Amino acid sequence: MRSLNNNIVSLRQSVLVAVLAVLLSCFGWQSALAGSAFTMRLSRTGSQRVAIAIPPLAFSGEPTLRHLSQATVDIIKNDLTESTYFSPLDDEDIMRQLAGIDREKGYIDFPEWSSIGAEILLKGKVSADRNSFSVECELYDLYDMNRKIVIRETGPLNNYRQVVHRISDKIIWEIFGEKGISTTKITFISRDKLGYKQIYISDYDGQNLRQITRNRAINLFPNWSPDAKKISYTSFKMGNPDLYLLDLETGKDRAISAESGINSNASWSPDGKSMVLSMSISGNPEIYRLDLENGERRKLTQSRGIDTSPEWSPDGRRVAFTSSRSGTPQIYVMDIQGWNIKRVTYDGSYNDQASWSPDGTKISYSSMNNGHFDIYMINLSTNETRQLTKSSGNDESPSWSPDGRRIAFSSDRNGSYQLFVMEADGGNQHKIMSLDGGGYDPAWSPHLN
Amino acid sequence: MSKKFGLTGLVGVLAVLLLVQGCAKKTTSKTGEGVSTAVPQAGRGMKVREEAGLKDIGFDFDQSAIRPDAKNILKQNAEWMVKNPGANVLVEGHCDDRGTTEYNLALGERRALSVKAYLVTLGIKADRIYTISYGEELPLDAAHSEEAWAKNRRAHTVVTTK
Repeated sequence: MRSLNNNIVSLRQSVLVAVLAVLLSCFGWQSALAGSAFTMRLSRTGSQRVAIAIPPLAFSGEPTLRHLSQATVDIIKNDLTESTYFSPLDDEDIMRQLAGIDREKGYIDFPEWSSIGAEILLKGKVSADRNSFSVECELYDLYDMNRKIVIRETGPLNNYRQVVHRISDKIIWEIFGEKGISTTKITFISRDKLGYKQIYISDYDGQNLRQITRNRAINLFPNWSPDAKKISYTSFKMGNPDLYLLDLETGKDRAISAESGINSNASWSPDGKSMVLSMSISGNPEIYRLDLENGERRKLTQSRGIDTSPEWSPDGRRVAFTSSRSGTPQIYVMDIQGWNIKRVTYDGSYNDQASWSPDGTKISYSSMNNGHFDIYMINLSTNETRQLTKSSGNDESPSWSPDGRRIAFSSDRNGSYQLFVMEADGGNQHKIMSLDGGGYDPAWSPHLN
Repeated sequence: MSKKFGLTGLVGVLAVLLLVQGCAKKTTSKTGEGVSTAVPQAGRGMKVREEAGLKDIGFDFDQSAIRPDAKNILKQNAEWMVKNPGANVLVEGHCDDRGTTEYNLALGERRALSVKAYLVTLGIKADRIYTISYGEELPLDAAHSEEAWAKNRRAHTVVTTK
């Protein structure tokens, strides 16, 4: 059914669609289909979104749970907007009216839906009782009314948001053949009521917040294992900044690097068998590689300056890190033996927090200008640098979504530090939650299966 | 692989320290300050108490070198340690909050180790000095002003009590 894809004309402006609709009535559907292949190619190279109509979903089940029908629509609309693939139509009144007309007629009046600018129509129903929650919906390609895709997801009621996120990712998969990020999560730091920095996890949209460390100490730098089942972090809970590994399924928590001095900023190898981290056991902060299976440790850097913030590359062959060896903190890349060290950033006098794009072609990082941090991105093959944020406050700690289309970061542009997400070109910067304890140092999870 | 806390670890650290002391040499940092190769010694699980005889020193932005004005203060701290031979100390390295959390944790570590190295050059035994970096996590003054930042860029020394 992914061939549906080929028939979508991605005309964003509803005006144009309206004009098309008029043309369609004159020349019939054939002419529209003839043109769609060409338009499709255009849209694939641009960033045009597909317009999807999501009228109210029918509901069956426990009457007190009826509100979950609207909640489901809201979650899907937000997921599809955030995905950057779709632009859900906003006019709920018109969609409700059209849905009512369809019900009366007993069939779906596709040209009516096209006329309001929709390219895809989603219809369906939500069922919920005390234990279970399910969504079943049909996707219609409004350029080819014979094409219909049925999507179903079921799960426990207390985790209904994840069920809906799975629906959203299936829609993205069916239409675009791409893995969505609606089911991904973000781990980050926020202060608890006593003021201690603790580790939290939320869904990628800022909902479903969960505190995962509860101690009376400072906890920093959470990072996902490649299978998203464990989180590494640095904690002062034993009186020294040591590196810990928390198993999210079993709750088992153990120290994996607890040498004197700092054991911090760990990043996983893509195979999950090793980590790179910053340690000062030699008397100066250097980058080390730690084999998680046999505990062997290898020192990768040896400089007079500070070496910190290592980030393992997605292809597993390189490590980006920050070093002050030139006199100021700058970003470097080396191979995993610690050889072939190459300086990456030359602009600015304070660059740190390198984060690889999932395809390994770019690094985003934080750069201090006039006393404020902004997020930049450098293309590693062209060395072209691009400023992604430019707010009045500090924008820090970039972390890429696993599909490479978004970047999470922390910003104090509105006062306190909170978590934000933007598209990878810097567009659509928006706050995803507001917590009394603030939001720091986000790390976006890998795809969850 | 996991670290054994407590006495065993401590004895191990002390043994390493004795070895390191035996072959301690001096290197020069980028700012030209003398920095010994004194290694960190973690005071895990220790309690500490404030001691009026031990004073804070300040640092320049993004620097871990001991400033001339700080040397006199550290000399007084060393004198206190000579007069109190039974006391061990914990040197905490702190930063202002303008840098990144990551880099500041490393910078605070360098500050604590700079103080340790300087105290060692003044004749204090390295194994009496524990170190820890708190990075930018524990500011003295949460304000965003030059004055507050200068206060926060510090090494604070306390006495360990077990």
